[in-house]
Amino acid sequence: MKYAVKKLVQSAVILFFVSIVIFLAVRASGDPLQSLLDPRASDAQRAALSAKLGLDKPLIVQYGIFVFDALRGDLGNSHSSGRPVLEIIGEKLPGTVVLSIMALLIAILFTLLLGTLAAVKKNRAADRIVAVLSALGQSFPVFFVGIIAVQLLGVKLRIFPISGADTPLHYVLPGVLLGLCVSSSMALVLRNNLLAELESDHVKFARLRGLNERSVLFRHALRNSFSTVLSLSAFIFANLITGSIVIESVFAWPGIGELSYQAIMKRDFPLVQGIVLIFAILIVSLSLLTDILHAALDPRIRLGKEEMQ
Amino acid sequence: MKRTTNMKRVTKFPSVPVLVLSVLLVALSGLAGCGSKDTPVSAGEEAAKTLRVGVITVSDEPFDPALVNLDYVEQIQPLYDSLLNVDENGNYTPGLAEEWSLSEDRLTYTLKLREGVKFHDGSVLTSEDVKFTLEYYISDTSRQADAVLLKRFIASIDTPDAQTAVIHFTAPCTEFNYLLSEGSTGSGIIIPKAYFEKVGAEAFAQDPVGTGPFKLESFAAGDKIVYAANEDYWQGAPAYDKLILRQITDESTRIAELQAGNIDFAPIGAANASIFENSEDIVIETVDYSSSLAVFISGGYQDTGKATQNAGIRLALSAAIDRDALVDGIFEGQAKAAGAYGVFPFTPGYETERSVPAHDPEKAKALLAEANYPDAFEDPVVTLYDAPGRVYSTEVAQAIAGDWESVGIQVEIVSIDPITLGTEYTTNPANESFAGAAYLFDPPRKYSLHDAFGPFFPSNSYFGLIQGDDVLDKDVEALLSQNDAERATTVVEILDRIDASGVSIPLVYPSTNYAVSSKVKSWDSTVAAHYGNWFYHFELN
Repeated sequence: MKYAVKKLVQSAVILFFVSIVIFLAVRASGDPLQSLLDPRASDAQRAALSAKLGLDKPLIVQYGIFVFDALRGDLGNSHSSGRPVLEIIGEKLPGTVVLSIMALLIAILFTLLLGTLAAVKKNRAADRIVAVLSALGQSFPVFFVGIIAVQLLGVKLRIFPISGADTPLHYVLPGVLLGLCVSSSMALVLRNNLLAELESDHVKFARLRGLNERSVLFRHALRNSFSTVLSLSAFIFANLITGSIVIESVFAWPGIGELSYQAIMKRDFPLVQGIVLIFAILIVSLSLLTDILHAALDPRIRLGKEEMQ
Repeated sequence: MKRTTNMKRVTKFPSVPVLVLSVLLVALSGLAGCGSKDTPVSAGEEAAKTLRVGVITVSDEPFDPALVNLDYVEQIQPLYDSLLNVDENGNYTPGLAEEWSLSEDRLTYTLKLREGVKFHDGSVLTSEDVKFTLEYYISDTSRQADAVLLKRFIASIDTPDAQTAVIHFTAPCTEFNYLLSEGSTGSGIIIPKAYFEKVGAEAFAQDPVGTGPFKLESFAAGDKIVYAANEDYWQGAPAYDKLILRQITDESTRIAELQAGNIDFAPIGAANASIFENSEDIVIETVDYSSSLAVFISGGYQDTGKATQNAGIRLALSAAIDRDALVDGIFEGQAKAAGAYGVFPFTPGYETERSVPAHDPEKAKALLAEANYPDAFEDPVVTLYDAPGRVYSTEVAQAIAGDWESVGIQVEIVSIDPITLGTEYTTNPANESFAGAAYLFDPPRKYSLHDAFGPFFPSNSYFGLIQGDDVLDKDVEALLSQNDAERATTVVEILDRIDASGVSIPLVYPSTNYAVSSKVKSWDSTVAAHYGNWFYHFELN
């Protein structure tokens, strides 16, 4: 409990700093009136719009309004469309989250398959094939693989839709592609962890107890090594959401990545602030959850090393 | 011992992953197989009488002509009409107004509205709507791009009867044919007074009502806009039922969607046009003079110690550029070398046949030597800002930098995003870091002559590439009150002064390529097609 409260306080402090950084960063990036008004706009037009958007107030006041409103669940209205930021994010986030979950599940599945296969067949053909596949997955840019997949499966074979997010089938190509790309790095992590586990004392002890190899692998070695991969998954999931812009561009996926890009290009302060804040809350929450789960699974973390000794 | 253990693992393990993998593949293939027949698009969009257009961006913009960003006016155009239309020669033709006239003293502009034009809500267009709309455009809440000009000249608007609107000017003005036309920045679009006042600005922006050939059916920013045909349109219902603009930003994806038959029409860059050379279903059609691409020199009048401060150096920059190579190499022939910035074949003054600056490296070298380049300059490096707003801008920047380097000019290319560049070039006088820099400028062709020359003169501009030139200032101002014959003469004078200053280096008039599927029976690719509501003119097979 004490551990959870400590982590909760840390998370709140992080979010506070994120709010300051993003507030200042967007204001340093350029003038939003540039994208809202024609360059020939009069001074009166600029002043009127500036006042309407609250940009004429001192920075500290603007920040106070931002934080006060955010604490009440109001992230303001988009400068360009005038619509509430939460409503806009609410339209885009679910699609990206579902896509990311699908990608993560595929990534975990392939990680388990390939990582375990490589570990149990260490230095044999299967291990080398997995190593080559992982290297290819990490070195080929995702947009390049995406374009090839679109041409092959969308244009030539016409199995999958190419772009958009209208039907469940639209999730397959981008989801699988993202998942495979992520699993290429996770599989090697799992392989190495698993190899270390298989050499550890408790696994040796399990074998000495006469457990069969399948039990040793799945109940002891894989369970322990996978916890590291699982803790990585939270960050990978967050990265999938925040870094989805490339895949969203290739598949014309109307998600949060594309929204972020447009918001930044237009210097839409409330929208950029809102997106970053939501992302930050998401990442901090995932991190918090992972820490707490990790602590629950591993007493060394919960109790501290000293107490264990 | 260890080896034995490993061997044991090997023999027992493989069955589980293989099983799971098989299940996954079967599941995915099942998913794929189930929907493969009508996979590419949803059923509603597959209607034969639907025009599906791939566009770069479907922006989250209000559907209010007073608030929409100028870059996305095309999104709202299908819903509206303007008072005047424009034909392929740039002549003004009847739109919502059947007749229009300017008094001899150029102080009163009278519009006679077409009878029986209805808004989407069934209300009838009247002169009160015209008065209300124009007054809305000049209000403090408006972001309309031409609000400054409208506000400057509109003294009052009378509505003697339901079909007549009389605009009284504060000073003689001839610019209102342009300002009230579909070729403007949207300032000719008329919205319904009663509906707007009833629902309020916020609701109107999301649930708009116009007189146009299409009604808004649905809108998803970053995804698509669906418009339904307006069966009661005053020019007759559109020749198809639905118009869908889909955001497909990545060009390779747009090409794939065209190849798969999922969209019918899309802009395609010159470099990819050859992909469709042997296609039976897709043809590439080109619309010339889409924009006017030039290099501008910022703050040439400032004392910065930079080489570009010297007019001779600026003229050398122009002489060093091989425009024909740009046309052939970067634009694959789909552009025209330009001798002037901002004037087009249908604008007064263009027919003066201003020659395209010759590619003359020797002249460039001589000009450099005459200016004692680089020794005479504190900062001889020419900074060229590349704001990749267009697909070709980076390639163009690299090509002209190569031309400049080949005659001995030191060049530094700086990548910058368009908004930051906008902030830089609207700072007047230019920031120290930006003064003397060169940057690519490429506005679309629908600006008026007065707008086109806006970047050069100081009195009403944040750009001010040229300052302290009273004659130029007076000439550009005069365009607002001159007729076309007078304008042709003035334009020549203005272009002469701009040429002599060297702050504008005209490059090319880029064309726009469109990939058109066999589903499209006809469309209007003339100059007029790019004005206003061009999707109305499509016919489908």
